[in-house]
Amino acid sequence: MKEYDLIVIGTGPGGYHAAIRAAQLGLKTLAVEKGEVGGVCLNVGCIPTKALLHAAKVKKLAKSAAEFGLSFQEEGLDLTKLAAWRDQVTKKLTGGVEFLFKGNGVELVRGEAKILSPREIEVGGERYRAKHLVLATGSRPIELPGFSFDEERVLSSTGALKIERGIPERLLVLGAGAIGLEFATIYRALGSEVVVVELMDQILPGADPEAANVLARSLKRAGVEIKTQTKAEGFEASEKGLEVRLSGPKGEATLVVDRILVAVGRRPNSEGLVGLGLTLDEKGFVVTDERMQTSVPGVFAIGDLRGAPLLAHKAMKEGIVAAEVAAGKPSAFDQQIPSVVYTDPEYASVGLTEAEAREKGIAVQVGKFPYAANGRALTRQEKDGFVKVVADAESKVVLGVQIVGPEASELIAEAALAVEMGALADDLELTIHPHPTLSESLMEAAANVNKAAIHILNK
Amino acid sequence: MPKEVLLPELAESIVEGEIVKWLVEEGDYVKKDQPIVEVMTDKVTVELPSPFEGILVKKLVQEGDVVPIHTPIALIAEPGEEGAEVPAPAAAAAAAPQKAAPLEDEDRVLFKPEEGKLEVKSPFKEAAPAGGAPPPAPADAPRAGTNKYGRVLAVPAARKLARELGIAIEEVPGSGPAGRVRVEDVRRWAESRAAAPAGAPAAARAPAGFPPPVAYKTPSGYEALEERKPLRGLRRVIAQQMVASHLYTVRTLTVDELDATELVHLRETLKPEAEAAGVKLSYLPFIFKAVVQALKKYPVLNTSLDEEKQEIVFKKYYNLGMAVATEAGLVVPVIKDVDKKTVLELAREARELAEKARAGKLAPEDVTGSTFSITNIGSIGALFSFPIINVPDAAILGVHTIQDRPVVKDGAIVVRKMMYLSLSFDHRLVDGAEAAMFLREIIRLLESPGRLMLEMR
Repeated sequence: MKEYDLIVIGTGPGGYHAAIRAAQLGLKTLAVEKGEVGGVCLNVGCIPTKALLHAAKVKKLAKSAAEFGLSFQEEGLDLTKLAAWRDQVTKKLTGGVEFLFKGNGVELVRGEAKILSPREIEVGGERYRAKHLVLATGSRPIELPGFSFDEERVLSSTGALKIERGIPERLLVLGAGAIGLEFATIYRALGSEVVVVELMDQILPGADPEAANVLARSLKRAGVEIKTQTKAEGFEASEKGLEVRLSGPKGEATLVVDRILVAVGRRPNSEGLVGLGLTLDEKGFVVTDERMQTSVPGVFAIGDLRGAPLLAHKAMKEGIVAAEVAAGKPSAFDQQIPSVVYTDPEYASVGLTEAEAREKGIAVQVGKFPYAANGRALTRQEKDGFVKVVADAESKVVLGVQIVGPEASELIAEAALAVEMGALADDLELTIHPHPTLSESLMEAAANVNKAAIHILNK
Repeated sequence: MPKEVLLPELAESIVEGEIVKWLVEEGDYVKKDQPIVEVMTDKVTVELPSPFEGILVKKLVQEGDVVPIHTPIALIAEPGEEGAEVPAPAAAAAAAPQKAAPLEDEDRVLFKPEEGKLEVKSPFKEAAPAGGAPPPAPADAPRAGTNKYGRVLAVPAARKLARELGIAIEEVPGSGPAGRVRVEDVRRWAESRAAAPAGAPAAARAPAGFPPPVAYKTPSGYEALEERKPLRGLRRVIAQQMVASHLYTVRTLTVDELDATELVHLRETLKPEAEAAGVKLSYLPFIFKAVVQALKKYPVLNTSLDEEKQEIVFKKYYNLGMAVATEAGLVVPVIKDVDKKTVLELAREARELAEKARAGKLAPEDVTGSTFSITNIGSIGALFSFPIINVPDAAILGVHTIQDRPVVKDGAIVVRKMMYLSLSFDHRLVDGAEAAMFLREIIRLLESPGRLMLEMR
């Protein structure tokens, strides 16, 4: 039987970070993967969707270039080639993870892990023992009653990535969260008529409503139909297509589509772990402390398995924490987690929204700056959106930042640093941002907190 | 069902111990009486034997933690119970910070079985129920914020440093805008905490206007030329003792010199006899005897201040601490009842204790209960020193090298064997005149050791 200091089950973002960090710290480390190295993120999540979104973006840019007299011939879209490129990007990254495993001395064994005890697992008939076990088994899409995944008519996000199987004429997306809206953007750009149905009263529930509005308007302008406060009850296949019964504020209706994408959330892959005696919450997520330690000594849980928000960068940090704690280091997860939706325009947020701050009873001063007043945004033909800085009215401490607009995903990193550092709006305002850049919008929004933005009338 | 291993009473009057080093890992199988952890109390390190056989499923305290006696420090499960769940958070966490009431058992049991409060299931029999309380948050995990944001304002590097130093970031006063905690704030807080005597609450620690400890800052450019080591173990105990002595005694010095010519002669004469009895005779036993005689004459030097009761404690017993330099640091083993022992006995005991100290084998009772202390600087060679009082003693005597020096005697310069004596005393308890007279008395007895014989009881 082979002995290790640490075994990681699952090599998604959380798992591979845990494995690499553990090996860096001198722990003899084994990583177990039953599917592809890199997990959902690299193989059927973050990375391939961003590849497709890039294609969608380029297509849009080619079209909008006509505004300044640059026209391209519509060459058409070779889906097989796009799929091949998508896979190539993915392969490069998963290969990169394997390279890093090797370079750091992480052993990789492929197969499904059977957990025998908190110290022992079995993979492919072979037994492995370790002092620490890191569970990083991730999550999978939730099915809706009446909409079981067959990946032909009813797709999960995984099935929806397979664009090489053809673009449906009409696509219904159930769920207007990040995944649903990103696929709505992709399929719309690739030619589908897209309807998005959301149970709540706004898209991106929980996001800043004003920002969600900007995004909804942009999506509508691109031709995506959005139905909020609407529920999909079920569907029947007929010669016309898939007849989906919807019920909403205006009563019941039937919508005919060719394919349905269900993106209503994800659930933890915690079923195989019940024998360990871990404490789970009511949704099946594994309960841990800030050091990723579960209720069973020596057993850690990280990433989607540990619960919301189900984000790769959260999992990565958690993986690092688990490895450091296992190595006896004083480490814990206590950071703010930014979130990003890669729609067009993008939405990104860190810290508290205005509504969340008010709910906590904090008097806030909000600074806002529209992209329409930003020179760089105009030269990019991307004037939709704004940056919002939520600051404590009294201390001016930056409590949160929301951005809807171009490159929100990149700009939010600076905001995350500000929130993490306990920066004041003044700190952002007084930091010189290069001109002309989109990042000036963050500086100006912060200045607007103090009624000192230059390129807008401060009100 | 896992049982708690409690930190036992290691010696009388010892209320806490520092976890110096775990000797086993979580998940290790331990035999009964196998040493599992090193604990330090009042400068003595002991290895705690496991109270029973089983698997150590959880360490409840970390290395470097200072924990009160009777605190659960680890959980040990019966063989076959490996991986049993950790007890509910409340029990373990609540027990740690406060001083547990002494157990009723007279023979100081090291552990007590759980009383059904902690639900511990065999993990392989049934599935874990959904829901349930989250596991306990360890001491250095971030706690719920205490400000209106629900999160302490702190720069990430300060959070990291606080964790490394075992400090809750919530406790650290921030000096940045809006109370943001900066790296220097954590460092300063850690230093002030280390400097304060153990157990003193933060607020009551220093009177108003008392300056905080000086924050250390690396001169720029020298970062790579410094090495940092955590203040742990004996060094930390010494640091605490010294700060307590420095801050809470009014240390005053009186100096005199001793003509040891006769004493040297006496020792030379007695040396062969002592050697025949198997004892290497030094000057120290004679000094011990003279000190005890002087203490009897000036009892105020053999006192302690009970600050809580505002009483001066006069001691009618004479236990002399003797400072010993060891590789690990300074320790002060105590020779008990010096007044009832012969010079030979004292010589033998002093040597034994010094050897034990250097080997790190002193028992807790070897270093407690001093009433007065002596530090022998002469053996190393300093000309003169200003000793620091070994609290709660009232005074300490510094003994120096015996050297041939010219002195004026009866109008002529003669060479005599001279020795400086320095007495540090707590001026709250002892006045200068008493201290000087006490020192004179020691000199009187040692200059003509015959008197010592005459007057010794």
